Amino acid sequence: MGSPALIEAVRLSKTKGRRIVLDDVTLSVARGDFYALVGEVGSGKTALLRALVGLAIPDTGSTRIMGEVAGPGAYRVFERVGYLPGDPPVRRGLSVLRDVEAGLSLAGVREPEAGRRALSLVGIEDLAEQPTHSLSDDHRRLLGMARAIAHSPELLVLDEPTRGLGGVERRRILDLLRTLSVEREITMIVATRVADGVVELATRVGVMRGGSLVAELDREGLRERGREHVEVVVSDPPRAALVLEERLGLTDFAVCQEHLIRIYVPGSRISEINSALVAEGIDVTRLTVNAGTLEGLLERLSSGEAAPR
Amino acid sequence: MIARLITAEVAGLRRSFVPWLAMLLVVGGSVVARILAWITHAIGRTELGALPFVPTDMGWSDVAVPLALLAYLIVTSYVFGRDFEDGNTDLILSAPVRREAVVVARTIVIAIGVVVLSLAGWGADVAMRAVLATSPLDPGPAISATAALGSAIAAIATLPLVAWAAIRFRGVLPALGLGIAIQIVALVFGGFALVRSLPWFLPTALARGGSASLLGVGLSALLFAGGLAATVRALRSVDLYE
Repeated sequence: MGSPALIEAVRLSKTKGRRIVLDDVTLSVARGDFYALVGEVGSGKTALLRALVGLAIPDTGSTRIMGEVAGPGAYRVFERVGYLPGDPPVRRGLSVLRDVEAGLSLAGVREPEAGRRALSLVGIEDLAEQPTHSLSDDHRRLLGMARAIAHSPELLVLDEPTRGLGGVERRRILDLLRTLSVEREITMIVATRVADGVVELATRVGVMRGGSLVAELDREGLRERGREHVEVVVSDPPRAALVLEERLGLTDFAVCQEHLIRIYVPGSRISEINSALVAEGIDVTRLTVNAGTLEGLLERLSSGEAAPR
Repeated sequence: MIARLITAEVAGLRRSFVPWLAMLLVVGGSVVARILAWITHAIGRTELGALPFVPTDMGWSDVAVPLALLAYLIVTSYVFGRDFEDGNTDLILSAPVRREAVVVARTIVIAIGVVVLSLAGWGADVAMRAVLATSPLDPGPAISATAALGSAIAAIATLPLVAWAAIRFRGVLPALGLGIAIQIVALVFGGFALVRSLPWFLPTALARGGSASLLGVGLSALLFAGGLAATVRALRSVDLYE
């Protein structure tokens, strides 16, 4: 962090009818960041990405991309931004290569081999002459990915780049994302589902739920929150904290929102903790062990099972 | 930028069936119109009185002009509305091009297409007349050229309105529906003086040997400019929130 934000949203809100699409979202992605945006279906990831690149119009709040206010006036930023929509479209009537080249031509890129190189990077160079309308959903996604990276952008905004891909293709895209992020230092914001493997590459993760950005974690935070721990919801958190320290000698815990205490101890100590709290007259309304995987943490955050902070 | 957009647009249209459908309607319309004119004049109106769907006063302009206008409507609706149907709006709106340029480039492509189609329709008419002309009442090449030109001008003048509908209502069919509805209204109420000045009625008026009024030309220009501004505005405010 510390570098200027390449893309940022300030207090972004949007409703459609009675549905809240985005709810007061503030987000900033600095140069060099690999920002993974996780959340369940309908959590607002796609709407947020679209607002960030200026394709969706928020009701309130503002978005900036590469220093410009996102929207129709900021069209030039797409010379430096690659965007992969959630359902990548194809240009009908063209071959796969011509499709990529058509995008390059609009971006003013005249390098003759750029299209073929992009296809090769995503592993579909064999399909170069195939008509786009005959592509499977997997290959459409890979073509979309090729289109997003073909003009060597500085910032990639990707909506679920690995969704639905088979093992080999998924691995290839994850490797490609790692290469682009680490070796070429391309800044990325990637909407993804927890199990898609993208969060393993991320330097920062944002968790969306119900249109809100409910948690943001950097690598350190992910490691910390991902550790095995016991979560306990109690009637009197200050007294409970005292009990944990004085009776059980525990110091590695955090008092969070809504009477929740997160205690970083092995799950095997759960009954000992419960007994100590109950013995002191503290009501324990929930007691859970979290196994401590990154995926597990993010899934719990996305679904609301775990408290954001 | 405009040239690059035009190239991309033409590449997209080249393998589509829509230009060929439009060509079929324009050329086919001219041919069918000539055949109908030949039947009504050569065989005689009395014998045709009993035929269904063939009015006794069926003329060249009643067939060729509406079909040509329909063809231009189809092309315009397709060019501006297909992105929404194919889900390609993302592609065009996330390209480093001004949205105004997209509208202008597409308008130019359609205008050129309309002129080419008009010429093809007029050529077919001249060829058919050489074979089937039987009456001095048949419109000659000069009148059919004027009608073809009128159709083209009317189509070009009104295409931004259709383009606006395609973007505003996100698809080919709403735009086509709006265009056809306006044409029908213009034709049904064509007997009223003011309606005759509407761009949609101009081609028929020209084909029947009339002339374009100053009001008609003014309205066409106004509709073109206003429609273009509305189309640009509609494309700038497209909201793809999900």
